[in-house]
Amino acid sequence: MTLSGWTWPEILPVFAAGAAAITALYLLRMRRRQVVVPFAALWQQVTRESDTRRLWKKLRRLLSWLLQLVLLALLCAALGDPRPESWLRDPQTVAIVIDRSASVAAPAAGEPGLTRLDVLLRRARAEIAGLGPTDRALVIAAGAEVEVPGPLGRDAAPLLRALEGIVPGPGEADLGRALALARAALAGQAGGRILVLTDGALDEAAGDALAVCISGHVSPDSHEVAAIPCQVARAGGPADNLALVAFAARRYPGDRERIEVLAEVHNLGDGPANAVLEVQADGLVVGRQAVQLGPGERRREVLRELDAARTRLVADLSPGPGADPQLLGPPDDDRAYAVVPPLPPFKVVLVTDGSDLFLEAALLTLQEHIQLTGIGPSEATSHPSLAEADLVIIDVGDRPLPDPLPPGDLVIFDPARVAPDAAPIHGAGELARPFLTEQHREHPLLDGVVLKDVNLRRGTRFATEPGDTVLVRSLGEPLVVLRHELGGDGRRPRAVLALGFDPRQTDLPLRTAFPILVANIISYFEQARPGFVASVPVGPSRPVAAAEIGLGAQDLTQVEVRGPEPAEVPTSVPVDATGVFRLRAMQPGIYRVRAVDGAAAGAEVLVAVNQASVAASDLHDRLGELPSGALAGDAAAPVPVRDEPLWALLLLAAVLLIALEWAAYHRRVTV
Amino acid sequence: MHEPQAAHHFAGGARQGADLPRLRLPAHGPARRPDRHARRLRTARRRSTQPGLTVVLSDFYDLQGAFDGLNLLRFRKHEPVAIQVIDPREAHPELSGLRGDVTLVDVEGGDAREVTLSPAALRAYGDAHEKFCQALAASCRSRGIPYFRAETSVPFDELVLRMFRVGGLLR
Repeated sequence: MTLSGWTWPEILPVFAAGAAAITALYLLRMRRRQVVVPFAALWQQVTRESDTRRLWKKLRRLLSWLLQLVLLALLCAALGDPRPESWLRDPQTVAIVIDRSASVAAPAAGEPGLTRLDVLLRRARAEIAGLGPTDRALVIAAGAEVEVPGPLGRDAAPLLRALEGIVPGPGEADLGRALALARAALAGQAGGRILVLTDGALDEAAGDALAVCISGHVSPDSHEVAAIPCQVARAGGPADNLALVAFAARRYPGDRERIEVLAEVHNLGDGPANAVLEVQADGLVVGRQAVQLGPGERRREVLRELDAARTRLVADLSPGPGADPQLLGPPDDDRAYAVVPPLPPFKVVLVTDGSDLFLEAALLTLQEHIQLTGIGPSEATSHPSLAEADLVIIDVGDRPLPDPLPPGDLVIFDPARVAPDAAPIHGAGELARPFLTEQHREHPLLDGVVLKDVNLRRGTRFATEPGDTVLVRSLGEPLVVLRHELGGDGRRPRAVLALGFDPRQTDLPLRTAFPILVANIISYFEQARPGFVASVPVGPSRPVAAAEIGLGAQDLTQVEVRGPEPAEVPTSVPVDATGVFRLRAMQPGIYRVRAVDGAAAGAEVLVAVNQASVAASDLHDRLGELPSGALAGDAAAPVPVRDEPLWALLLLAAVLLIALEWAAYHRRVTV
Repeated sequence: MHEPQAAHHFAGGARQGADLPRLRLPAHGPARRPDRHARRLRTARRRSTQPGLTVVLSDFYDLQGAFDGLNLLRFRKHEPVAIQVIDPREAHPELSGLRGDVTLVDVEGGDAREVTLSPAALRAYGDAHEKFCQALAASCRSRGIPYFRAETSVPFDELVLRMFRVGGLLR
């Protein structure tokens, strides 16, 4: 408190004189009025009092004297016009940025029963309570999405109400946008200051943004110094957390009615942990597994051969027998969702002269899940099916290869036969009656394929390059090679499988290995097909390709999003020309996406949204040591009143005391 | 609040209009002791040689000896009549407006006493005064002594008429 009116040297003499006068008056008042009575004996009998009552009378006089001194003190204090320090300093404008990422739901250190967010909010309340009458503040909540629950204002009540609505959210805190918003809000304001309240468990981007803010620069690449100081108040806690960091389901390409489910559990804490992983499909438990993990360990659990009739999958982590529930950490990463993805037909184009019936027959047996189109060599550069093909198989015998080759994945039989240098994998010479002596048995393309004693009339050995995978060799010479390279368009990566023999010049098609090899080829390319979406991470604007979630993108301009289930209110979202739309998924769960227009109008697919972020689940403080100037001190002491001058309140208190004494006197309490 | 301390002695019977000898006691005597009434009435008894009607006018404000003097007169074959003269403000002190911390001094001397006169204390005094008067009246009646209470606010002739009516001399 500081006196802005009379100073202490001026007040004290006034008080001393007043106190002396009051004391003198009380001493004078002790000389009682004399009353002559005719029957003093009866008066004496009536007014006889106990010693206790006499003591109380003396004390009452003492209290009365003290009351008068208090009244005098209040009046003297009012003359001083006292004001808190926060009222006299220059106005401040504070942007309070509160981290509400998933990690702040974890317990706070040394505060039993409180989360980190509780401690941060308590600090925010203290900061708001310490604001002076000319100070202003705003509250920014930094979660996966940045919000301003408390707009810039001088009144503390709406700001305190805004704090009540801040709860932890899944995902990471977008501190970069939050701090940029704070800087924009404080631009041009007097005494601007940013106070960041966080538990320090930030991802790299948020940590960088905070470091830039503390350093005083506008952006990492800018040397411009912002005149807005940035300070941090932290509330950490134990880092124990067991998280589901991956959860996905996929159909078996060869058996569309069966699926397999993958769940990955990560122990992000500093000690061992055990838990029970349970997977439910449409409410039915389909898998239950106890997991024990050391510090930092992660483990994958795969449930195989599940019925694909159930489309909604939920994985839950629960404490193991005798385990401390605190080891599981915040709940957002203890549950994950997955949907059984649709499996659109795998489009295969076979370029053939029609003379290889064995190959066509092997492909036809897979028509349950592939869409086979056969074209002649003359159409191999112009047929419209080539543009949509997932895989092109070229088996043109002694004819030259199409020029140019299709841009996507390719399987080419005997590509270097006519023009070795024109093949995508160059030929290095002919082999007469080669034997298949070595084969890469672990490669999925050759899973279950036995090439022993296969007779070949002729073959072509390839000139391999670093990165190529040689699947089959003939006495050391590469005969079957797999290469990953950029496609014909120079942008999209593709795989090329080159088999250095003509199926017509071998007895391989007569063996059981041949249809197995063909099925492996289809499965390999099918599983490597890009665009398989296991789940979408939570966030305010996640790009999702309609085609990747099984929604036909042709002429699609708008989709409706509902979710997470059971929410039914649809949100219309535009789809851009490339078939991508932005999904706003702020809560984990299963969302429904419906095509509004286009070729797939009315079709609806499910999309799973999960936190599934190690950075968001890691509860360790990653800020490290901060400069002393970046550490926020304690909040200013709260002021009991905001706007009214204190001298008026002191006078009001004096008036109340006078009224109290008047009432006591007239009620005969003090006489 | 002091009533006159006088006693009228009617010697030789109660005859209306007779020249009755009068006995006067000092209006303001020395400091009274508790048995002041008895002492004065003993004096009156010594001075009266013949028994007869004796009218005693007093406030009888004596906690110990208020009735003893009347008894003495009876033993000397007097026929005492007690007239208690009371100031209404003494009987009802709460009507006096007296409040606060005061020092009570007996009109006839004695120790001063510091008291706080609250409404409760004033009511208690009024009640005690009334009990005192009733006790005196009861004592007189039990011994056949006529007793009258005379408030100073009531005119004297009115008091006399009331006494005559009570005594059956007037209707």
